[in-house]
Amino acid sequence: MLSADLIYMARRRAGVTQAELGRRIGLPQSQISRWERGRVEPSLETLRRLVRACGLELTLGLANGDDSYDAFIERALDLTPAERVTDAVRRANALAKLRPAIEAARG
Amino acid sequence: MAEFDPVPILRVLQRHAVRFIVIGGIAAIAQCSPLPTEDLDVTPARDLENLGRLAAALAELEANLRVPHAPGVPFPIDARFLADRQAWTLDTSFGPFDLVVVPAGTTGYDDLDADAGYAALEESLIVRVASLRDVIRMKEASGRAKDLAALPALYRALELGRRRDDPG
Repeated sequence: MLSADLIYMARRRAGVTQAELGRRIGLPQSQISRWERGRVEPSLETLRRLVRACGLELTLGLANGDDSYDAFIERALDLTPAERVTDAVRRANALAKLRPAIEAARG
Repeated sequence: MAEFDPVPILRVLQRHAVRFIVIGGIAAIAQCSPLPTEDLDVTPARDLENLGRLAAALAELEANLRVPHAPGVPFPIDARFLADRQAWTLDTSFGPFDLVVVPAGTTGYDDLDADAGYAALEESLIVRVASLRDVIRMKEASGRAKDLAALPALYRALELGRRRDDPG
């Protein structure tokens, strides 16, 4: 996820404007806007300050790489939103039909 | 329980001129989430006029309160009754349908409207859909185990979608 998305989500979750967030960390609204548009990226420390100014905490850690979703997502990117929803509904209903048999097998 | 199909539910909402934003699993799927869902979640605008139109749509959809392992429970569907609660968990003639007036981490319809987009689900059915980053914001804020478990896939969908939009 990009810094731009993190800043946007933290700010909106805190319910503050770009101007208010800027005021909290001593920078103009235009700088917050540039970061949220992804035109420039803040340093990790600045990102942490921004998130903290929204009353949240940026947690970082290392995990094993996982690309298990990528093939599904790449396939979905080639479809229209309507095709994605139709496909998901078909899968959900197929799963729902299987559920009684799965539950019976579990005893 | 009826077979799940969100499209007829959305068609009825549109026909009744309800102002709403699709959120949750279906909003995420429309934006390439690989995760399954078995219900439709929407956030309606909270004004009484809109809730009145929503009540008419719910009556047409034969909406009942959803109860685990039991038939749905009928309830008095009108605008003031709908205004009394933040969320409604319903069963309809087209499957599960949840109304979430103020989703976690947001202030409701107007908040989500600021970043929402449109999805054409049929030629004459174009609905307002919460942005993927707002779907993530809601799931992060809810703190429910199933929402937190969905986050890695949604982060990845956001990232790969952006990469496709802007390969440079």
